[in-house]
Amino acid sequence: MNEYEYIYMKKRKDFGRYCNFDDVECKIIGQIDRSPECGNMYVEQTILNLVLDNIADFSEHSVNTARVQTKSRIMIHTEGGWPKEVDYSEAQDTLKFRKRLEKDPAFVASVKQLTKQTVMCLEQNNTIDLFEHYFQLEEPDHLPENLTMKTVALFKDPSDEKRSVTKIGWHPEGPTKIVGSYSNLRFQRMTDEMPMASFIWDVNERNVPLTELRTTSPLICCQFNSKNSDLLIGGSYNGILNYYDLRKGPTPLYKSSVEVSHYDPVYDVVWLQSKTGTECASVSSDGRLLFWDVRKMSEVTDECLLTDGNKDEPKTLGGVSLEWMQEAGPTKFLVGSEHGITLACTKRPKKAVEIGTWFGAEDRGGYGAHFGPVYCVKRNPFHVKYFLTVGDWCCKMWMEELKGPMMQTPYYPSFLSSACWSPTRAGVFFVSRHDGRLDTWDYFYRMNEVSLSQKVSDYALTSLNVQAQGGFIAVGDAEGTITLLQLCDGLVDPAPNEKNLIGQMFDRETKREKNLEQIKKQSGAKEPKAEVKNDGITIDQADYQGREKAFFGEVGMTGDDLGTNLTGIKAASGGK
Amino acid sequence: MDDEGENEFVSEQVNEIVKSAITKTLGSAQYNKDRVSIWSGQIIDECLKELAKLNKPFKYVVTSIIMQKNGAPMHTGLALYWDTKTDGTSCVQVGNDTMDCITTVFAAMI
Repeated sequence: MNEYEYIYMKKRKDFGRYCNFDDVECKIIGQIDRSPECGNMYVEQTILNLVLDNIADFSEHSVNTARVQTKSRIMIHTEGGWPKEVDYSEAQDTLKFRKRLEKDPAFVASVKQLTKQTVMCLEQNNTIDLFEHYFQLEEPDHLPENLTMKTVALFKDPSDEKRSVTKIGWHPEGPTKIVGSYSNLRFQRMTDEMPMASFIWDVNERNVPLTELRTTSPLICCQFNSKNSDLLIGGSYNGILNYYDLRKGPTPLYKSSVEVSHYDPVYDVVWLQSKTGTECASVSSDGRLLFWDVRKMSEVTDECLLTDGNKDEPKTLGGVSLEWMQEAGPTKFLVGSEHGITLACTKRPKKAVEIGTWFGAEDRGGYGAHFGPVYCVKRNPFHVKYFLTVGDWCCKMWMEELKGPMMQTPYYPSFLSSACWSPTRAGVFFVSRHDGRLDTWDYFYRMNEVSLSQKVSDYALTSLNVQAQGGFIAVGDAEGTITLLQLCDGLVDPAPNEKNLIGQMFDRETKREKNLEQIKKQSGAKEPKAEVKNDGITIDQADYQGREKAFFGEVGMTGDDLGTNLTGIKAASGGK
Repeated sequence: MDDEGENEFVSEQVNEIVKSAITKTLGSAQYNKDRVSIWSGQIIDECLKELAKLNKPFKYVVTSIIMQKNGAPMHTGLALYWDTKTDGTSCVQVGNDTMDCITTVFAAMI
């Protein structure tokens, strides 16, 4: 073992110095003191530029997605799956096989199981969520509380002297043009310098009228022909009718001859519907309803003297408003008179025009006439048997077969000048007031109160017309300004079933009115003497209430006050 | 360890070397931030060269700080763990009008 031993010999000192390390206390080796005087070397920076933004950083990145390959394939469906021994083209064989199979209890079980799966697949609606509620924030239609209308445009009479807008007519094709008739209806207030012309306005051009309609006497009413919108008929203050053809210029193409014309201002004129589209009718305070053919203005085609129907001493009633509607019957005319009575005239071919009914005439068994001229008569466009009249301070609702009004609005603090039904909503009509407000009644919503009352002008409103699509109203005031208003959707779009419900309401009121008439007759028979002076409107209170209750029971309504103001009408007529 | 006196770290001697190296490099130069690294390199090189000439059994570490005189205070300190008997350190602080220079030499005996 020892042979492999090798001994190294080295002195300790040759190994090098061994370490003998120690910690040394920390000490500061260098120190530079603060020198405040150096601060004077610095100048404060007064202008600092700093740019900040809070625009989100975006990065653009594009990716090409894998392209989907499409391919058309054809598949043939043939009948098959039958066992070999069955010839599927033989109906007999297949039927037999089927019958045999259906008897197999395993078949019933498997069909049961399979139908379960199939029904689930069939009923699963993978494509459309039928019940999803779109447009959650959209307001439900026809909230009668937030009706609005907003002024779209003002058309000011360019003449210096103020004239009132006596009639407004809409262009028959869309809300594009308006014809305004300007005149001063106050007796002998027209000055010699007063401009005569009336104007046609383009809805989009507010500053300058599109055309003027020249005339020797101011027009009181003027209407577009419904077939040919270039033709207009205007009734003037001196009783003459002017026939305009816009293609031929602003002067009248024909004028009616003085001899046959009205001898009072022509208050209203309507175009009739005929094959030629040239017939019209006019009414005036001279008490005549005249029929014209504009191709031959030298004579009238027909004439009707508006009288009170008294055979011995007929009293002439001046007409101030005229209503004709194709749907209500082309032979029927409604004339509102200066005496507050509305007349229904019938014009049969080859017969004299005769007056059928005097609505509200007390000496004919009617009641509820207006206390002043009936400025406006309008048939309901959906239920043409019913019409409204405007006179004095209220608006009354009538039915063709009744002599008295069915309903009426409360008395307004100011005179009313005109009214118009909405052409789209059966229960809505608009009333213009002399205190510059335009009231909207929505009978579909409530009958006791106005739905919307909007201040349109500082002056008296004199005329009103709704555009045939129902979205726009033109309102004229005494200072010659026509205001174009746009209605909110709630006033334009009909509510579901509105037409029927309004019709039912009218029917109900008619029934009730007839019912009351019957009581009147009965009580008249009971005490004929007491009825001599009164026109038969006194009704035994208890009897009346009993009948009313029975009536409501009949029509299936309950409650004490059903909103209609029958007692008010009674009081009004009785108070006369 | 027999010939101790000869191989001792003499801080006065070293101080002298460092001081002359600084004055030689900086002289009355104006502070210029682009030249700082050149200056500190020169100072350190000069010191090491002179220290090597002493021919003593030491390894040297030289650090140098050059700082502009701008009113700001500066303190530099050290803590050591070494052979307290043989090893030594020396620190020289020289300043002119525009800057201060602190140079430290550490010497560790081999």
